Amino acid sequence: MSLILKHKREKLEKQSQFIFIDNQGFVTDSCDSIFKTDGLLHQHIAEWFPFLESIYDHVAAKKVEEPEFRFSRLNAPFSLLPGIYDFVFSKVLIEGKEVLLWEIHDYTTLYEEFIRQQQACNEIIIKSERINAIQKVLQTQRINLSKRNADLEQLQKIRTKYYKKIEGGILQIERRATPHLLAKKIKDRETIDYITAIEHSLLQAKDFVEELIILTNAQDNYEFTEQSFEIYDLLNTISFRFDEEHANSNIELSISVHKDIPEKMIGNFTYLKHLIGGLILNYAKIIQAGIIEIQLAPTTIQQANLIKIKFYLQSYSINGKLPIYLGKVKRFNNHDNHDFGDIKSEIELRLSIIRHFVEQHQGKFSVESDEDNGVGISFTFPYVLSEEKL
Amino acid sequence: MISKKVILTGSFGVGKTSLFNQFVHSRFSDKYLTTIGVKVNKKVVNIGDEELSILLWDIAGEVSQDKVPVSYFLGANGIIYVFDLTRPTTYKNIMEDINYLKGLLPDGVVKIVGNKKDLVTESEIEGIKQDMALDCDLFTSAKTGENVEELFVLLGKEMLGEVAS
Repeated sequence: MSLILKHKREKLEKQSQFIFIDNQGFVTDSCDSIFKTDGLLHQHIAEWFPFLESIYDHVAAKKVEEPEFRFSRLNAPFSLLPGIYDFVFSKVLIEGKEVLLWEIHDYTTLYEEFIRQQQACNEIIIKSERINAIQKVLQTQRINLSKRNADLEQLQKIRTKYYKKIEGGILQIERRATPHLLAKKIKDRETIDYITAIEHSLLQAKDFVEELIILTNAQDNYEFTEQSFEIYDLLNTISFRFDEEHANSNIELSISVHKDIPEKMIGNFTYLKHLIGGLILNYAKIIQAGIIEIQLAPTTIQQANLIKIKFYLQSYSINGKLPIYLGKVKRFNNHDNHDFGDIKSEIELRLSIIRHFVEQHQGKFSVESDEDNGVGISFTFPYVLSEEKL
Repeated sequence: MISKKVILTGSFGVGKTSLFNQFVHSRFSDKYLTTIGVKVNKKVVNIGDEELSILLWDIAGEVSQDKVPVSYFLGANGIIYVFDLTRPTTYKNIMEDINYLKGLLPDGVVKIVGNKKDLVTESEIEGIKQDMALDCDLFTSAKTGENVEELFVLLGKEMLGEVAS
Protein backbone atom coordinates (compact mmCIF):
# COMPACT_ATOMS: atom_id res chain seq x y z
CA MET A 1 0.00 0.00 0.00
CA SER A 2 1.33 3.42 -0.93
CA LEU A 3 2.17 5.87 1.83
CA ILE A 4 -0.55 8.27 0.75
CA LEU A 5 -3.23 5.58 0.86
CA LYS A 6 -1.94 4.38 4.23
CA HIS A 7 -2.06 7.91 5.57
CA LYS A 8 -5.54 8.44 4.17
CA ARG A 9 -6.84 5.21 5.70
CA GLU A 10 -5.38 6.00 9.10
CA LYS A 11 -6.92 9.46 9.08
CA LEU A 12 -10.36 8.39 7.89
CA GLU A 13 -10.43 5.37 10.17
CA LYS A 14 -10.46 7.68 13.18
CA GLN A 15 -13.51 9.48 11.86
CA SER A 16 -15.84 6.51 11.54
CA GLN A 17 -16.76 3.40 13.47
CA PHE A 18 -18.69 0.41 12.18
CA ILE A 19 -20.50 -1.93 14.58
CA PHE A 20 -22.34 -5.18 13.85
CA ILE A 21 -25.30 -6.01 16.08
CA ASP A 22 -27.06 -9.36 16.09
CA ASN A 23 -30.79 -10.01 16.29
CA GLN A 24 -30.62 -10.09 20.08
CA GLY A 25 -29.25 -6.55 20.26
CA PHE A 26 -25.66 -7.53 21.20
CA VAL A 27 -22.49 -6.28 19.56
CA THR A 28 -20.79 -9.02 17.53
CA ASP A 29 -18.03 -6.98 15.99
CA SER A 30 -16.72 -3.40 16.02
CA CYS A 31 -13.67 -1.62 14.60
CA ASP A 32 -13.58 0.53 17.77
CA SER A 33 -12.14 3.59 15.99
CA ILE A 34 -14.09 6.06 18.12
CA PHE A 35 -14.84 4.16 21.31
CA LYS A 36 -14.15 0.71 22.74
CA THR A 37 -17.02 -1.74 22.85
CA ASP A 38 -15.33 -4.68 24.59
CA GLY A 39 -16.68 -3.69 27.99
CA LEU A 40 -20.20 -3.61 26.63
CA LEU A 41 -20.27 -6.89 24.78
CA HIS A 42 -22.69 -8.59 27.11
CA GLN A 43 -25.16 -5.72 27.29
CA HIS A 44 -28.04 -4.87 25.01
CA ILE A 45 -27.00 -1.80 23.03
CA ALA A 46 -30.29 -0.04 23.83
CA GLU A 47 -29.11 0.11 27.43
CA TRP A 48 -26.00 2.05 26.48
CA PHE A 49 -27.44 5.37 25.44
CA PRO A 50 -30.79 7.05 25.78
CA PHE A 51 -30.65 7.81 22.08
CA LEU A 52 -30.54 4.12 21.09
CA GLU A 53 -33.15 3.23 23.68
CA SER A 54 -35.67 5.43 21.94
CA ILE A 55 -35.17 4.02 18.42
CA TYR A 56 -33.78 0.54 18.75
CA ASP A 57 -37.00 -1.41 18.19
CA HIS A 58 -37.57 0.43 14.91
CA VAL A 59 -34.08 0.10 13.47
CA ALA A 60 -33.87 -3.58 14.51
CA ALA A 61 -37.07 -4.32 12.60
CA LYS A 62 -35.58 -3.05 9.35
CA LYS A 63 -35.16 -5.32 6.33
CA VAL A 64 -32.08 -5.58 4.13
CA GLU A 65 -33.84 -4.10 1.14
CA GLU A 66 -35.17 -1.12 3.07
CA PRO A 67 -33.30 2.18 2.93
CA GLU A 68 -30.98 3.08 5.76
CA PHE A 69 -32.00 5.26 8.71
CA ARG A 70 -29.79 8.30 9.02
CA PHE A 71 -29.65 10.55 12.07
CA SER A 72 -27.57 13.57 11.29
CA ARG A 73 -25.60 15.79 13.62
CA LEU A 74 -26.39 14.13 16.92
CA ASN A 75 -25.20 16.39 19.66
CA ALA A 76 -23.24 14.46 22.32
CA PRO A 77 -25.16 11.18 22.09
CA PHE A 78 -22.44 9.52 24.18
CA SER A 79 -22.34 11.07 27.60
CA LEU A 80 -18.63 10.31 28.06
CA LEU A 81 -17.68 11.34 24.55
CA PRO A 82 -18.83 14.86 23.71
CA GLY A 83 -19.04 15.76 20.06
CA ILE A 84 -21.21 15.74 16.95
CA TYR A 85 -21.91 12.46 15.20
CA ASP A 86 -24.03 11.03 12.40
CA PHE A 87 -25.60 7.62 13.04
CA VAL A 88 -26.62 5.44 10.14
CA PHE A 89 -28.48 2.17 10.65
CA SER A 90 -28.96 -0.43 7.94
CA LYS A 91 -29.47 -4.17 7.69
CA VAL A 92 -26.73 -6.04 5.81
CA LEU A 93 -26.08 -9.69 4.96
CA ILE A 94 -22.90 -11.11 6.50
CA GLU A 95 -22.17 -14.70 5.59
CA GLY A 96 -25.83 -15.24 4.76
CA LYS A 97 -27.05 -13.77 8.05
CA GLU A 98 -28.91 -10.49 8.52
CA VAL A 99 -27.09 -8.20 10.93
CA LEU A 100 -27.67 -4.63 11.94
CA LEU A 101 -24.88 -2.29 10.85
CA TRP A 102 -24.43 0.79 12.97
CA GLU A 103 -22.19 3.40 11.36
CA ILE A 104 -20.91 6.26 13.50
CA HIS A 105 -19.35 9.24 11.71
CA ASP A 106 -17.57 11.82 13.78
CA TYR A 107 -18.05 15.50 12.81
CA THR A 108 -16.83 16.94 16.07
CA THR A 109 -14.00 18.89 14.44
CA LEU A 110 -16.55 20.70 12.31
CA TYR A 111 -18.85 21.43 15.23
CA GLU A 112 -17.56 24.95 15.96
CA GLU A 113 -17.91 25.90 12.32
CA PHE A 114 -21.45 24.44 12.14
CA ILE A 115 -22.43 26.39 15.22
CA ARG A 116 -20.84 29.63 14.01
CA GLN A 117 -22.58 29.51 10.64
CA GLN A 118 -25.96 28.40 11.93
CA GLN A 119 -25.87 30.89 14.80
CA ALA A 120 -25.03 33.79 12.49
CA CYS A 121 -27.79 32.78 10.10
CA ASN A 122 -30.43 32.45 12.85
CA GLU A 123 -29.47 35.72 14.50
CA ILE A 124 -29.77 37.59 11.20
CA ILE A 125 -33.24 36.15 10.64
CA ILE A 126 -34.37 36.99 14.19
CA LYS A 127 -33.06 40.55 13.82
CA SER A 128 -34.81 41.01 10.49
CA GLU A 129 -38.03 39.67 12.05
CA ARG A 130 -37.79 42.31 14.76
CA ILE A 131 -37.11 45.07 12.22
CA ASN A 132 -40.11 43.93 10.18
CA ALA A 133 -42.28 43.94 13.30
CA ILE A 134 -41.20 47.50 14.16
CA GLN A 135 -41.83 48.61 10.59
CA LYS A 136 -45.31 47.08 10.71
CA VAL A 137 -46.13 48.96 13.92
CA LEU A 138 -44.87 52.24 12.42
CA GLN A 139 -46.83 51.62 9.24
CA THR A 140 -50.01 50.97 11.27
CA GLN A 141 -49.41 54.13 13.27
CA ARG A 142 -48.94 56.12 10.07
CA ILE A 143 -52.14 54.70 8.58
CA ASN A 144 -54.07 55.40 11.80
CA LEU A 145 -52.73 58.93 11.97
CA SER A 146 -53.57 59.74 8.38
CA LYS A 147 -57.01 58.16 8.85
CA ARG A 148 -57.52 60.23 11.97
CA ASN A 149 -56.37 63.37 10.19
CA ALA A 150 -58.79 62.64 7.36
CA ASP A 151 -61.60 62.09 9.88
CA LEU A 152 -60.74 65.30 11.69
CA GLU A 153 -60.62 67.22 8.46
CA GLN A 154 -64.03 65.86 7.52
CA LEU A 155 -65.40 66.66 10.97
CA GLN A 156 -63.97 70.15 10.79
CA LYS A 157 -65.64 70.72 7.44
CA ILE A 158 -68.98 69.61 8.82
CA ARG A 159 -68.61 71.77 11.92
CA THR A 160 -67.52 74.81 9.95
CA LYS A 161 -70.42 74.35 7.57
CA TYR A 162 -72.81 73.99 10.50
CA TYR A 163 -71.52 77.04 12.34
CA LYS A 164 -71.52 79.05 9.14
CA LYS A 165 -75.17 78.16 8.74
CA ILE A 166 -75.93 79.43 12.22
CA GLU A 167 -73.90 82.52 11.56
CA GLY A 168 -75.73 83.04 8.25
CA GLY A 169 -79.06 82.66 10.01
CA ILE A 170 -78.14 85.25 12.60
CA LEU A 171 -76.98 87.65 9.93
CA GLN A 172 -80.22 87.20 8.02
CA ILE A 173 -82.25 88.09 11.09
CA GLU A 174 -80.01 91.04 11.66
CA ARG A 175 -80.22 92.27 8.07
CA ARG A 176 -83.88 91.60 7.39
CA ALA A 177 -85.73 91.87 10.65
CA THR A 178 -84.08 94.97 12.03
CA PRO A 179 -84.59 97.26 8.99
CA HIS A 180 -88.08 95.84 8.64
CA LEU A 181 -88.94 96.85 12.15
CA LEU A 182 -87.27 100.21 11.72
CA ALA A 183 -89.18 100.79 8.49
CA LYS A 184 -92.38 100.80 10.50
CA LYS A 185 -91.06 104.04 11.96
CA ILE A 186 -91.20 102.93 15.48
CA LYS A 187 -90.41 105.94 17.47
CA ASP A 188 -91.03 104.99 21.01
CA ARG A 189 -87.84 104.75 22.99
CA GLU A 190 -88.63 101.38 24.61
CA THR A 191 -89.05 99.53 21.29
CA ILE A 192 -85.93 101.08 19.78
CA ASP A 193 -83.92 100.05 22.85
CA TYR A 194 -85.42 96.59 22.55
CA ILE A 195 -84.43 96.29 18.87
CA THR A 196 -80.94 97.62 19.63
CA ALA A 197 -80.55 95.05 22.37
CA ILE A 198 -81.61 92.25 19.98
CA GLU A 199 -79.14 93.54 17.39
CA HIS A 200 -76.37 93.63 19.98
CA SER A 201 -77.20 90.13 21.19
CA LEU A 202 -77.18 88.79 17.63
CA LEU A 203 -73.77 90.31 16.98
CA GLN A 204 -72.49 88.80 20.19
CA ALA A 205 -73.94 85.41 19.21
CA LYS A 206 -72.17 85.70 15.86
CA ASP A 207 -68.86 86.37 17.65
CA PHE A 208 -69.45 83.39 19.91
CA VAL A 209 -70.00 81.17 16.90
CA GLU A 210 -66.72 82.38 15.42
CA GLU A 211 -64.99 81.59 18.68
CA LEU A 212 -66.54 78.12 18.73
CA ILE A 213 -65.20 77.44 15.24
CA ILE A 214 -61.69 78.36 16.39
CA LEU A 215 -62.11 76.38 19.60
CA THR A 216 -63.13 73.19 17.81
CA ASN A 217 -60.33 73.57 15.30
CA ALA A 218 -57.84 74.03 18.12
CA GLN A 219 -59.26 71.02 19.99
CA ASP A 220 -58.78 68.84 16.92
CA ASN A 221 -55.19 69.92 16.54
CA TYR A 222 -54.51 69.54 20.22
CA GLU A 223 -54.30 65.77 19.72
CA PHE A 224 -51.42 65.97 17.27
CA THR A 225 -48.14 64.57 18.47
CA GLU A 226 -45.16 66.73 19.30
CA GLN A 227 -42.39 66.91 16.79
CA SER A 228 -39.25 68.79 15.95
CA PHE A 229 -39.91 72.16 14.35
CA GLU A 230 -38.07 75.36 13.48
CA ILE A 231 -39.21 78.46 15.31
CA TYR A 232 -38.82 80.58 12.16
CA ASP A 233 -41.12 78.23 10.28
CA LEU A 234 -43.75 78.90 12.90
CA LEU A 235 -43.30 82.66 12.77
CA ASN A 236 -43.22 82.72 8.96
CA THR A 237 -46.45 80.74 8.84
CA ILE A 238 -48.14 83.14 11.26
CA SER A 239 -46.81 86.16 9.40
CA PHE A 240 -47.90 84.78 6.03
CA ARG A 241 -51.40 84.08 7.32
CA PHE A 242 -51.60 87.57 8.82
CA ASP A 243 -50.57 89.17 5.51
CA GLU A 244 -53.24 87.16 3.70
CA GLU A 245 -56.04 88.06 6.09
CA HIS A 246 -55.13 91.68 6.80
CA ALA A 247 -53.67 92.84 3.49
CA ASN A 248 -55.99 95.87 3.31
CA SER A 249 -56.24 96.63 7.01
CA ASN A 250 -54.49 99.26 9.07
CA ILE A 251 -52.96 96.70 11.39
CA GLU A 252 -49.28 96.03 11.41
CA LEU A 253 -47.62 92.84 12.71
CA SER A 254 -44.23 93.11 14.34
CA ILE A 255 -42.21 90.04 15.41
CA SER A 256 -39.07 89.98 17.50
CA VAL A 257 -37.08 86.92 18.64
CA HIS A 258 -34.46 87.00 21.37
CA LYS A 259 -30.98 85.86 20.28
CA ASP A 260 -30.97 83.01 22.82
CA ILE A 261 -34.07 81.33 21.38
CA PRO A 262 -32.91 78.06 19.75
CA GLU A 263 -33.77 77.60 16.10
CA LYS A 264 -35.10 74.07 16.58
CA MET A 265 -37.17 72.55 19.35
CA ILE A 266 -39.73 69.85 19.98
CA GLY A 267 -43.36 70.84 20.44
CA ASN A 268 -46.79 71.00 18.86
CA PHE A 269 -46.32 73.18 15.82
CA THR A 270 -49.96 73.04 14.70
CA TYR A 271 -51.27 73.90 18.13
CA LEU A 272 -48.97 76.92 18.53
CA LYS A 273 -49.89 78.15 15.06
CA HIS A 274 -53.58 78.09 15.99
CA LEU A 275 -53.00 79.62 19.39
CA ILE A 276 -51.03 82.63 18.19
CA GLY A 277 -53.09 82.96 15.02
CA GLY A 278 -56.28 83.01 17.09
CA LEU A 279 -54.94 85.69 19.41
CA ILE A 280 -53.93 87.89 16.50
CA LEU A 281 -57.38 87.49 14.98
CA ASN A 282 -58.90 88.42 18.33
CA TYR A 283 -56.81 91.56 18.63
CA ALA A 284 -57.39 92.54 15.06
CA LYS A 285 -61.15 92.38 15.46
CA ILE A 286 -61.04 94.84 18.33
CA ILE A 287 -58.35 97.35 17.53
CA GLN A 288 -59.05 97.56 13.77
CA ALA A 289 -56.07 99.88 13.42
CA GLY A 290 -52.80 99.64 15.33
CA ILE A 291 -49.83 97.40 16.01
CA ILE A 292 -49.70 93.78 17.16
CA GLU A 293 -46.34 92.80 18.45
CA ILE A 294 -45.10 89.25 19.09
CA GLN A 295 -42.03 88.81 21.24
CA LEU A 296 -40.26 85.52 21.95
CA ALA A 297 -37.81 85.40 24.81
CA PRO A 298 -36.30 82.57 26.89
CA THR A 299 -36.94 82.34 30.60
CA THR A 300 -34.91 80.28 33.06
CA ILE A 301 -33.24 77.25 31.53
CA GLN A 302 -33.96 74.37 33.90
CA GLN A 303 -32.17 71.49 32.21
CA ALA A 304 -29.55 71.08 29.51
CA ASN A 305 -32.06 70.08 26.85
CA LEU A 306 -35.07 72.06 28.10
CA ILE A 307 -35.93 75.70 27.56
CA LYS A 308 -38.88 77.75 28.70
CA ILE A 309 -40.04 80.22 26.10
CA LYS A 310 -42.27 83.17 26.78
CA PHE A 311 -44.57 84.21 23.96
CA TYR A 312 -45.68 87.80 24.50
CA LEU A 313 -48.33 89.46 22.37
CA GLN A 314 -48.92 93.17 22.77
CA SER A 315 -51.49 95.32 21.02
CA TYR A 316 -51.69 99.06 20.66
CA SER A 317 -54.80 100.74 19.33
CA ILE A 318 -54.70 103.70 17.04
CA ASN A 319 -58.37 104.60 16.68
CA GLY A 320 -59.32 104.46 20.33
CA LYS A 321 -61.24 101.20 20.36
CA LEU A 322 -58.84 99.58 22.78
CA PRO A 323 -60.70 100.71 25.93
CA ILE A 324 -63.60 98.38 25.04
CA TYR A 325 -61.12 95.55 24.93
CA LEU A 326 -59.49 96.71 28.15
CA GLY A 327 -62.85 96.53 29.94
CA LYS A 328 -63.45 92.99 28.80
CA VAL A 329 -59.92 91.90 29.73
CA LYS A 330 -60.38 93.51 33.12
CA ARG A 331 -63.59 91.52 33.61
CA PHE A 332 -61.75 88.33 32.52
CA ASN A 333 -59.07 88.94 35.14
CA ASN A 334 -61.55 89.72 37.89
CA HIS A 335 -63.93 86.77 37.46
CA ASP A 336 -63.55 83.06 37.98
CA ASN A 337 -63.92 81.65 34.47
CA HIS A 338 -61.72 78.57 34.65
CA ASP A 339 -64.70 76.33 34.00
CA PHE A 340 -66.04 78.66 31.26
CA GLY A 341 -68.95 79.52 33.55
CA ASP A 342 -69.03 83.27 34.11
CA ILE A 343 -68.30 84.58 30.62
CA LYS A 344 -70.02 87.59 29.12
CA SER A 345 -68.14 88.25 25.91
CA GLU A 346 -66.41 86.43 23.09
CA ILE A 347 -63.12 88.00 24.21
CA GLU A 348 -63.45 86.39 27.63
CA LEU A 349 -64.36 83.09 25.96
CA ARG A 350 -61.31 83.30 23.69
CA LEU A 351 -58.97 84.11 26.58
CA SER A 352 -60.47 81.31 28.68
CA ILE A 353 -59.97 78.85 25.83
CA ILE A 354 -56.35 79.89 25.36
CA ARG A 355 -55.62 79.71 29.06
CA HIS A 356 -57.22 76.25 29.17
CA PHE A 357 -54.95 74.96 26.38
CA VAL A 358 -51.81 76.64 27.71
CA GLU A 359 -52.33 75.10 31.14
CA GLN A 360 -52.99 71.70 29.60
CA HIS A 361 -49.57 72.01 27.95
CA GLN A 362 -47.93 72.67 31.35
CA GLY A 363 -47.64 76.33 30.43
CA LYS A 364 -48.44 79.54 32.30
CA PHE A 365 -50.81 82.20 31.06
CA SER A 366 -51.42 85.81 32.07
CA VAL A 367 -53.08 88.96 30.71
CA GLU A 368 -52.06 92.50 31.55
CA SER A 369 -53.80 95.64 30.44
CA ASP A 370 -53.67 99.37 30.96
CA GLU A 371 -54.69 102.35 28.92
CA ASP A 372 -51.14 103.54 28.32
CA ASN A 373 -49.55 100.27 27.32
CA GLY A 374 -52.46 98.44 25.68
CA VAL A 375 -53.13 94.79 26.26
CA GLY A 376 -50.38 92.25 26.73
CA ILE A 377 -50.95 88.51 26.78
CA SER A 378 -48.11 86.25 27.72
CA PHE A 379 -47.83 82.50 27.85
CA THR A 380 -44.83 80.39 28.73
CA PHE A 381 -44.15 76.78 27.67
CA PRO A 382 -41.33 74.38 28.45
CA TYR A 383 -39.73 73.06 25.26
CA VAL A 384 -37.35 70.20 24.68
CA LEU A 385 -34.49 71.25 22.43
CA SER A 386 -34.33 69.27 19.23
CA GLU A 387 -31.19 67.19 18.69
CA GLU A 388 -31.61 67.28 14.94
CA LYS A 389 -28.97 69.24 13.11
CA LEU A 390 -30.06 72.21 11.11
CA MET B 1 -40.45 1.47 34.00
CA ILE B 2 -42.36 2.81 31.04
CA SER B 3 -40.29 4.81 28.59
CA LYS B 4 -41.66 7.37 26.10
CA LYS B 5 -39.91 9.31 23.40
CA VAL B 6 -40.82 13.00 23.16
CA ILE B 7 -39.75 15.41 20.41
CA LEU B 8 -39.23 19.10 21.15
CA THR B 9 -39.75 20.94 17.90
CA GLY B 10 -40.61 24.36 16.50
CA SER B 11 -38.87 27.27 14.80
CA PHE B 12 -35.32 28.23 15.77
CA GLY B 13 -34.71 30.52 18.73
CA VAL B 14 -38.05 29.79 20.42
CA GLY B 15 -36.43 28.28 23.51
CA LYS B 16 -36.62 24.52 22.94
CA THR B 17 -33.15 23.91 24.36
CA SER B 18 -33.92 26.23 27.26
CA LEU B 19 -37.05 24.20 28.05
CA PHE B 20 -34.96 21.04 27.69
CA ASN B 21 -32.29 22.36 30.07
CA GLN B 22 -34.84 23.69 32.53
CA PHE B 23 -36.69 20.36 32.55
CA VAL B 24 -33.66 18.05 32.63
CA HIS B 25 -31.07 20.09 34.53
CA SER B 26 -33.16 22.88 36.17
CA ARG B 27 -30.91 25.54 34.66
CA PHE B 28 -31.33 28.49 32.32
CA SER B 29 -29.03 30.75 30.33
CA ASP B 30 -30.03 34.03 28.65
CA LYS B 31 -27.45 33.46 25.94
CA TYR B 32 -28.87 32.14 22.70
CA LEU B 33 -26.86 29.23 21.35
CA THR B 34 -28.26 27.46 18.34
CA THR B 35 -28.78 23.69 18.38
CA ILE B 36 -27.13 21.64 15.68
CA GLY B 37 -28.88 18.42 14.75
CA VAL B 38 -30.40 16.82 17.80
CA LYS B 39 -29.64 16.40 21.47
CA VAL B 40 -31.12 13.53 23.47
CA ASN B 41 -31.50 13.21 27.21
CA LYS B 42 -33.61 11.34 29.69
CA LYS B 43 -35.55 12.27 32.79
CA VAL B 44 -37.82 10.26 35.02
CA VAL B 45 -41.04 11.96 36.12
CA ASN B 46 -43.63 10.75 38.55
CA ILE B 47 -47.12 10.53 37.18
CA GLY B 48 -49.21 9.73 40.19
CA ASP B 49 -47.82 6.47 41.54
CA GLU B 50 -46.12 5.62 38.28
CA GLU B 51 -42.60 6.45 37.10
CA LEU B 52 -42.24 7.51 33.51
CA SER B 53 -38.91 7.77 31.73
CA ILE B 54 -39.07 10.56 29.19
CA LEU B 55 -36.53 10.36 26.38
CA LEU B 56 -36.44 13.90 25.21
CA TRP B 57 -35.19 14.78 21.73
CA ASP B 58 -34.32 18.44 21.38
CA ILE B 59 -34.03 18.99 17.66
CA ALA B 60 -32.61 21.95 15.74
CA GLY B 61 -35.29 24.52 14.95
CA GLU B 62 -36.67 24.80 11.47
CA VAL B 63 -38.94 27.49 10.05
CA SER B 64 -41.18 24.78 8.64
CA GLN B 65 -41.65 21.31 10.15
CA ASP B 66 -41.42 19.51 6.82
CA LYS B 67 -37.71 20.40 6.83
CA VAL B 68 -37.07 18.30 9.96
CA PRO B 69 -35.68 14.84 9.04
CA VAL B 70 -38.52 12.33 9.28
CA SER B 71 -36.22 9.77 10.94
CA TYR B 72 -36.20 11.93 14.08
CA PHE B 73 -39.88 11.13 14.66
CA LEU B 74 -39.27 7.40 14.54
CA GLY B 75 -40.80 5.75 17.58
CA ALA B 76 -41.92 9.03 19.13
CA ASN B 77 -44.89 9.01 21.48
CA GLY B 78 -45.27 12.72 21.95
CA ILE B 79 -44.41 16.04 20.36
CA ILE B 80 -44.02 19.41 22.02
CA TYR B 81 -44.42 22.14 19.42
CA VAL B 82 -42.85 25.29 20.83
CA PHE B 83 -43.31 28.85 19.57
CA ASP B 84 -42.01 32.18 20.82
CA LEU B 85 -44.68 34.48 22.24
CA THR B 86 -42.59 37.51 21.24
CA ARG B 87 -42.16 36.47 17.57
CA PRO B 88 -45.32 36.12 15.47
CA THR B 89 -43.35 34.46 12.66
CA THR B 90 -42.86 31.43 14.93
CA TYR B 91 -46.60 30.69 15.06
CA LYS B 92 -47.85 31.99 11.73
CA ASN B 93 -47.60 28.51 10.12
CA ILE B 94 -48.83 26.64 13.17
CA MET B 95 -51.83 25.09 11.45
CA GLU B 96 -49.75 23.60 8.62
CA ASP B 97 -47.01 22.48 11.02
CA ILE B 98 -49.38 20.74 13.43
CA ASN B 99 -51.26 19.03 10.61
CA TYR B 100 -47.94 17.80 9.24
CA LEU B 101 -46.79 16.52 12.65
CA LYS B 102 -50.10 14.78 13.32
CA GLY B 103 -49.74 13.13 9.93
CA LEU B 104 -46.31 11.80 10.95
CA LEU B 105 -47.49 10.67 14.35
CA PRO B 106 -51.22 9.90 14.12
CA ASP B 107 -51.36 8.18 17.53
CA GLY B 108 -48.97 10.53 19.30
CA VAL B 109 -49.78 13.28 21.76
CA VAL B 110 -49.08 16.79 20.46
CA LYS B 111 -48.80 19.76 22.80
CA ILE B 112 -48.63 23.37 21.61
CA VAL B 113 -46.58 25.58 23.89
CA GLY B 114 -46.05 29.35 23.85
CA ASN B 115 -42.67 30.00 25.47
CA LYS B 116 -41.00 33.18 26.86
CA LYS B 117 -44.07 34.02 28.93
CA ASP B 118 -41.86 36.19 31.14
CA LEU B 119 -41.42 38.63 28.24
CA VAL B 120 -45.11 39.35 27.57
CA THR B 121 -48.07 40.67 29.53
CA GLU B 122 -51.31 38.81 30.14
CA SER B 123 -53.16 41.14 27.75
CA GLU B 124 -50.55 40.46 25.05
CA ILE B 125 -51.11 36.74 25.56
CA GLU B 126 -54.83 37.31 25.08
CA GLY B 127 -54.09 39.12 21.82
CA ILE B 128 -51.86 36.27 20.63
CA LYS B 129 -54.60 33.73 21.44
CA GLN B 130 -56.95 35.71 19.20
CA ASP B 131 -54.39 35.78 16.38
CA MET B 132 -53.58 32.08 16.51
CA ALA B 133 -55.25 29.56 14.25
CA LEU B 134 -55.11 26.88 16.96
CA ASP B 135 -55.51 26.73 20.72
CA CYS B 136 -52.35 26.68 22.76
CA ASP B 137 -52.05 24.08 25.52
CA LEU B 138 -49.69 25.93 27.84
CA PHE B 139 -47.69 29.13 28.16
CA THR B 140 -44.28 28.54 29.65
CA SER B 141 -41.20 30.40 30.73
CA ALA B 142 -38.01 28.39 30.49
CA LYS B 143 -36.35 31.30 32.29
CA THR B 144 -38.50 31.26 35.42
CA GLY B 145 -39.48 27.61 35.11
CA GLU B 146 -43.18 28.53 35.03
CA ASN B 147 -45.31 25.64 33.73
CA VAL B 148 -42.26 23.64 32.54
CA GLU B 149 -42.66 20.71 34.93
CA GLU B 150 -46.45 20.97 34.49
CA LEU B 151 -46.00 20.64 30.73
CA PHE B 152 -44.15 17.34 31.00
CA VAL B 153 -46.48 15.98 33.64
CA LEU B 154 -49.49 16.83 31.48
CA LEU B 155 -47.84 15.28 28.44
CA GLY B 156 -46.83 12.21 30.48
CA LYS B 157 -50.39 11.71 31.72
CA GLU B 158 -51.76 11.89 28.20
CA MET B 159 -49.13 9.52 26.86
CA LEU B 160 -50.01 7.05 29.62
CA GLY B 161 -53.65 7.49 28.79
CA GLU B 162 -54.54 8.92 32.20
CA VAL B 163 -55.96 12.04 30.61
CA ALA B 164 -57.70 12.22 27.27
CA SER B 165 -55.64 14.26 24.81
